[in-house]
Amino acid sequence: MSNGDRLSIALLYPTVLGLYGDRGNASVLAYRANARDIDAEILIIDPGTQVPEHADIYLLGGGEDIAQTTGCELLRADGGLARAHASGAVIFAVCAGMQILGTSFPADGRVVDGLGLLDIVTTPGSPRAVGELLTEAVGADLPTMTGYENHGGRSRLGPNLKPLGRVLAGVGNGTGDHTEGAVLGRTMATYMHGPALVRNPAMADLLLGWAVGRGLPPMEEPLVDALRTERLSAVRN
Amino acid sequence: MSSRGESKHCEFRGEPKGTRAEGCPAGIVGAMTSGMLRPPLRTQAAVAVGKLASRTSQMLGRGHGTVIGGNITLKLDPGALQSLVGKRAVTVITGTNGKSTTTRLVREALGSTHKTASNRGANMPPGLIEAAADQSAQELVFEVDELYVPRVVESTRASILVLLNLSRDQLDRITEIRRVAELWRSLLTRVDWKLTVIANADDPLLVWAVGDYADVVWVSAGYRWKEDAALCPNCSRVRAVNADGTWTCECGLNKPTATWTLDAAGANGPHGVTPFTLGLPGDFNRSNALVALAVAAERGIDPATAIGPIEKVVDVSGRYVTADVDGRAVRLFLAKNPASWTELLHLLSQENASVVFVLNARIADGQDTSWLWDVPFEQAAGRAVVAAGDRRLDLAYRLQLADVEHTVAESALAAIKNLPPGPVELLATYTAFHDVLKELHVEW
Repeated sequence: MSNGDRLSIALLYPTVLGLYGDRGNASVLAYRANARDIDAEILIIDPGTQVPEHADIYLLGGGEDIAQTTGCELLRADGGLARAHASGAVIFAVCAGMQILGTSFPADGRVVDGLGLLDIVTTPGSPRAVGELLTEAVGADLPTMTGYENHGGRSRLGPNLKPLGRVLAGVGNGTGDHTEGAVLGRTMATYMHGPALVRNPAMADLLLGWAVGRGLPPMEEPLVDALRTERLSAVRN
Repeated sequence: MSSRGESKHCEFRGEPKGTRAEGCPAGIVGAMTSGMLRPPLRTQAAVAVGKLASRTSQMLGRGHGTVIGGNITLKLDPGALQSLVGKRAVTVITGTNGKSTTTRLVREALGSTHKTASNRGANMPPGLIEAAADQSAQELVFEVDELYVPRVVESTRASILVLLNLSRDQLDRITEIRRVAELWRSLLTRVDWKLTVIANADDPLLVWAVGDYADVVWVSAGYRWKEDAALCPNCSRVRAVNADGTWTCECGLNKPTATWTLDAAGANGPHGVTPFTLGLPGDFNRSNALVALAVAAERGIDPATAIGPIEKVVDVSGRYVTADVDGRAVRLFLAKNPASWTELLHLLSQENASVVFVLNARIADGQDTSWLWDVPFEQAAGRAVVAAGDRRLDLAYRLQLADVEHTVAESALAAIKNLPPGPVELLATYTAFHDVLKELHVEW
């Protein structure tokens, strides 16, 4: 870990990019780290504050068009996230956050340049993708993933990107190839709210494992197991 | 408990016989005999058929029947709302939170001097028909769903539009909050009749939506929820908020000077200070009362006259009712979205009762429960807490990570019975709230 024994989780601009409870992802990461005796702290990075370059995990959430554009411009001007990415930090981006990591996205009727950390081009799509999303893992070793999507973008992945999952129910990236999200190195992106890491603890552990450089011991959480069983059966029925 | 029937108003929700306030018409036939300007025959016929459907629905035990009747009326006569309203003064009340309560308070306030009718709960056009059909009412007060505001305001040529607040709610249906603000902004550019906007100066989205519209009365009603207004809605820059609650942006969008404000002494307006003590709990209801006074003043009613009936209200469509369950006093709260949960958790944190949270995620609740993570459930720690409802597992995990000790129960009733004796505060989402009213046999 970059800061000695302490795992730092940077929650980027939650008041701007946090429309769908995405801050829950930070809570789950810290909770599951602490449960394995890893000291974890959440750094809330508000607009106007410099993005730290040496956090272990960076989280980006969802937002409406103007928030997405402003969030992207603030991140570009700050430069911290791009430098952290270049030095191999773990990044987890959801919805508008995923589009921001890409090369371009639509907002308020125009095309906005993304940060270009991932080769993803997002174009407007219709109808809006709203509802439960269920996928099986492609780009990572994970059990079936469950989340809730709410977006109007269609995200095409470049050839160097693996999708995170293949869509079993819902829309996902929406490019006709049943892909959902993207994975490249230690960067993971998805359209799943829910929040994603609440409903998919294995995904949280994978990110934590990347950050601490080793696999984590299993953790019994009957409540989350029950929640997953309920969500999976609600979608499959 | 309720102040129902204490002032001159009729509320239309298809009550069973015998519960209607004295002097209110039993139906459209009664209403048509009052000698006022009658709606066209087609409308009268459409309303009569709609009424029949409402009654049938009631007799079959399928709820109040207001929406079914209204739907049929509008199908037979799409212009029915406009015809029924005629030339009467209409106040439209909208916003994410506080619509029903403010509508009730406004109805009470206007009812102090004029016969006033309003809808209750059902806030899309079919839900307005029953109240509009009361031809004996001089004033009409409609709470209207955010997305239907342009349609209702334009078709009724409303004289007052109240904008309470705007925040994330049912995003699976509404998708973007800004879209709602845009709808209202665009509506105001089309208004070519006398319409006064009464709006919350503390909500930047509303200030942007009102834009250059000239006929506006600003009310500083406050709002604990700030998460949807970090950016300036006009220029997308990060907004500066000062310690005194005023806010500014480089682009020039600033908090307007409010005509109506609140302080410990009461409501401050053009008439001076109006002290008041509400029967309803919470800072947010003091704000709703302030708005109601502003509406009353706009309709020519002195705050000193209007405040009495407002103070007497102690419950609104089941909200804030205290029900007895095996000797426990259970107070009921409707909590629909992060802003309202945040307000209510703040209210609860000032008391020490046990708490039941009931979470559903059906269509009317919004089907995405992600917002649970936007709500400071940490404030519920230190008391007995039970999670119930269709999505109790989502809630239970949220409480676990908030370090709130809790138990999980299948139903609200089971949840209450699991608690130690003593007062209970129950917060429920929309459909869960109505299930609880049924389960606890609360009439509303």
